[in-house]
Amino acid sequence: MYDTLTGFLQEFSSQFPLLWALLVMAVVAGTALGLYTLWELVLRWTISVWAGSRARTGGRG
Amino acid sequence: MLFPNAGVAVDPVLLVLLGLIVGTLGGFFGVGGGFLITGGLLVFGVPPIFAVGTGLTLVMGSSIINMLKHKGLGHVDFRLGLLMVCGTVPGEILAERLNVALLEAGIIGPVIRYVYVVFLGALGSFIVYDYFKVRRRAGASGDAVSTESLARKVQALRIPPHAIWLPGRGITPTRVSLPLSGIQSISVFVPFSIGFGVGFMAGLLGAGGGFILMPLLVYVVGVPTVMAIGTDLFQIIITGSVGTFIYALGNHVDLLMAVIMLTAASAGAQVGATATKFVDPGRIRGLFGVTVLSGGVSVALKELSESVSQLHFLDTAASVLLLGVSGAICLVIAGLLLRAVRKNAASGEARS
Repeated sequence: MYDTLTGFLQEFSSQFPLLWALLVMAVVAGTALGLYTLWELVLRWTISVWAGSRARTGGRG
Repeated sequence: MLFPNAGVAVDPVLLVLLGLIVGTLGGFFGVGGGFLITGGLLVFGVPPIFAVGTGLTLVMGSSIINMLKHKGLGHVDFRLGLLMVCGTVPGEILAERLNVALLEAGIIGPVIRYVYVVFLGALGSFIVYDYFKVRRRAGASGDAVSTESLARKVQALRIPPHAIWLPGRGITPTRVSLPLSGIQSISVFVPFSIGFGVGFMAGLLGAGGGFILMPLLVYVVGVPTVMAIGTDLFQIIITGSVGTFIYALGNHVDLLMAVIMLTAASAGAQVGATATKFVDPGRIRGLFGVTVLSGGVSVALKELSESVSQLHFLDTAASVLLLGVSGAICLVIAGLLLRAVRKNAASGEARS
């Protein structure tokens, strides 16, 4: 799996420079958007769980 | 772990640590952290051209995350950002021409390092000086700076032409209002010139330009600190994207390395950006000043190691110093955030 990935990255970057540059930008932008969304969901879930536990324990949790 | 494009083996744990530092500082100060990433990757043994290319790729990705986070907090003035971006691209093109001329003259290395040392040293010293000066003033708010009268003069500047013709809008005045940044009226040529200057310096120094733009917006234009941080990140996305495209086209980006660091940077960004909501803006500027000063000392050490052959070890010492100071500042930021969250929770309990 790792060998296939590294082989693809090496070949694609040397054979298709323009497509490679566009792929790099798309992967980085897509990963950034995905990670931002993931963290937002995690933080919202954490806050709601924390608020729920505080409400149950009457603000002592 | 072997990284195929750069052709080097680097411990992924080190990349994760570097990504965490870059994400935290980026979210807290509104900088891309290009100089930090390049220095760090060089210490890890990554070839210089890949260190710069991969660094710019990380700058682009982490700035997207940080900007979105600040947008959620209401810290981005897109109108101001777009006006600056119009000047950034011509500035970068002009710098590229100058870089070629310096390269042909064979003096590009020392010139860039001297500009870095003088610029970072002067900027860092001024920010730290301003921090202590304003702190002595009784009752000063966190956004108070010692250059308020300069900012008022810059906002009042009347630069001709006072109106221009725009397709679809006809004759349009060149003064605009930027309510999000607390500016009632300013000539569009001011943010344009600032964008041009920052684009020029970023192109010359091979950086995103955040460490220049954030203080310029705060001290010269009079933008509130947190708004300057968010808007600054919007501009860095543009400079970082242009740099990423150019270096990727030349096959000088290691995508795998960039994605690993970006994943870690996204975690750091949550800490850094959220901390700006709780930490006093004056303190943010003070810590920024210390970071910029350590950057200046680091580049000075690098220059010394290049000039004197016996002092070659200073090259590694410079990067270690910069990474050490940045890591320590990240811990301070995390501590300040933790303290603020605890304080908020305690005051919430007291109210209920």
